[in-house]
Amino acid sequence: MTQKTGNSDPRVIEGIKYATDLDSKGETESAVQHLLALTKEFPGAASLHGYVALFLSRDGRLDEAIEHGRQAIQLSPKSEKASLVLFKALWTAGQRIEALDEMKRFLALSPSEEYTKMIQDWNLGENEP
Amino acid sequence: MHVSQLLNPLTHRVHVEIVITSLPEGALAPLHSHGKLQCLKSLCQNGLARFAYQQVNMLGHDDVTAEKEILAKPHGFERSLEKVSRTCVSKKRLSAVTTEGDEVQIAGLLISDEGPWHCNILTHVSKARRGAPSFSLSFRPGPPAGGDYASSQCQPQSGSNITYEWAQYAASNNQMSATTQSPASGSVEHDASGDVTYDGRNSYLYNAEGQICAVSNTYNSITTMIGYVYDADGQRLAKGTITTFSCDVTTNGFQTQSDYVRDQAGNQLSEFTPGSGGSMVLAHTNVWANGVLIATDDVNKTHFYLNDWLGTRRVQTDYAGNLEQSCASLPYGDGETCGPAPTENLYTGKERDAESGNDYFGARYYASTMGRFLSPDWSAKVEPVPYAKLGDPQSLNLYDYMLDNPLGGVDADGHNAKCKGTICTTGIKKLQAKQAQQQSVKTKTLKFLAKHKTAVKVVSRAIIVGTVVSGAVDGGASEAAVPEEAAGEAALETAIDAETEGAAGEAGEAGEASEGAGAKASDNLKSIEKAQQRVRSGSDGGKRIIDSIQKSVDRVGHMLNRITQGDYDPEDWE
Repeated sequence: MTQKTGNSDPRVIEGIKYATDLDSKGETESAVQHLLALTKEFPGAASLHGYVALFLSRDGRLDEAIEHGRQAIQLSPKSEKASLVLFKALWTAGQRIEALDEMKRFLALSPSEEYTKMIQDWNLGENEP
Repeated sequence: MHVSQLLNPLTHRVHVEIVITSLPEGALAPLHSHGKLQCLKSLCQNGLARFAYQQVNMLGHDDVTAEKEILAKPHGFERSLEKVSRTCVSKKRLSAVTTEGDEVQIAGLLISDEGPWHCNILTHVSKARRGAPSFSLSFRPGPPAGGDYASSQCQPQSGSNITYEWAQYAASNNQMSATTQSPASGSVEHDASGDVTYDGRNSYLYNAEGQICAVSNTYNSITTMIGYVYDADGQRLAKGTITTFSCDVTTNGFQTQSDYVRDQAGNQLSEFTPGSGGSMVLAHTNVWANGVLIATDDVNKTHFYLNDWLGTRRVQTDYAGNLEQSCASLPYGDGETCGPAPTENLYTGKERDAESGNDYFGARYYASTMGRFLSPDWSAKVEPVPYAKLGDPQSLNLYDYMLDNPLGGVDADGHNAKCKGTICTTGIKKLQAKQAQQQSVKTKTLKFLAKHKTAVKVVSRAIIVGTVVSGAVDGGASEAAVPEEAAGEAALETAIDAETEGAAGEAGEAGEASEGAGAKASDNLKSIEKAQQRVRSGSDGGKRIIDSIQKSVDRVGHMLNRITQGDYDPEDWE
């Protein structure tokens, strides 16, 4: 039995495709507004908030991006993509400790190839204690 | 009778076609469970019925009624089905049909909401049979989430000549306390961990890891006892007869009957059985493709399988394409008509144990007779209710199979369904989770075995990813040794380490790609906390960490940008 979050709904899929098309044409704000309108209809779809956060983050609207990133992880706590979106937004906003907290939260819930690779790249053992 | 099932991947609607070519009056059509059809009268003969139903929704209700979905009705069925559908539309479970006219009658009894039949919403009729002078109705328990299934709620009126099947659950923990649906009617007993220790026919013993290690049953005054041996990853390595009902292979008289070679996903690649002279000889080798068993090679050359969408064998041919057998079974896997040849992998490709009738799913054993697992689900990471989603009450039942929607997908490893769509994904996350579990099992096994000074010799495995394996078992897989305390523990650890590393190396690219992800979660968390300390300190080390993380963030940014360019996968966001 599949839980109906909305991520797989054809209208959500179509909406995201439409938004990415708008974004590719430079109409990012329209893409964001389109997705935000869809979130009212599909409040359980983490992907909509995730894409909104991605677009906003790329446009430098980090506070709003973080807000939508948090909504995405609330809806789908075990979504690695949602976590990475929030992590990147927090880190870029200078909220580094919070970003690492998000990394910890996700790893406590689920394994992550991406986060594990990051940690391995840090080479913590080679520096000071 | 021929039964075929087809799943529409877009609507998730299952189309069931039943062609009854010869069925004597009163015979029971072997099809039941969620919205099924029973052929009860001679009018069914030579009839053709097609109907469809959707996946049950979160509350266990079918979304459509049968009357809307009947595409063609055999003579005499139309009114019955419509009546049943109307009568039980709120129950969504009644599947039996019979008689003529507007009324649904069985042996003169009217079935309706006001009739002698009182079922709660969690109940559905699974079997109905008419035969003079009496008839019987059988019930299959519905999902117990949200309430108790009390037999008193499904009692026939007093004086009516009805036999029925029932089950009782404890509302607090979903444990089945008694049922007529177990292999033999009677009470169902559990141990303190919630594992079924007696199901009405079989008695079970469990080892410290919660795995069944011994099965015993008595039939016609003959007692059969079988023991199971597992490797450090928790995969079953061997099966054999035992003389004492005990898990201790050093004292229970274990005599190997089967040795298994498995791939990393736990699928049985080869089975070895005792040959002349006591040596183990290859019995058969299975060929898997994308998690589905497609062929088996044995002394009679290669056998090919045509499976349904769940991976359950439906047709078997020889190497030349000649039909060897066709297989029917019910949605929950019971009613299997095929034998365990050339391999015992039947329901969804899992191994069916002849001694118990249960299916080995890896993490747990599944009893198709009851439609549930014998043990509560567990996860490597301690959780109050493993794999539960609060939005899906059925996931709170630790014994359920496929969230009580057995046609909706396959359970890959015996843990609660984590499937989306029609088929479970076996992507990198699943592999990572499995590796983390294996690491945990390895650690716990080491401690347990060292404590008990008992070592199980692990077998070497030869794995060729994605193709046929011809592996040789290194000695008896079930051989047990009692080493000297210190040397034994060291030898055991070395053996398990070697086995684990060997398996990882042999897994090729898949293993390498996920090797880093297999690191312990706790180590990762410590590393992050260490990084946070350095970032807070503002020291040179902290700046180096920030630079390093920034590179990671840049890389993640590139990856995320790709998904804004049309690369959308809904499962990434679940």
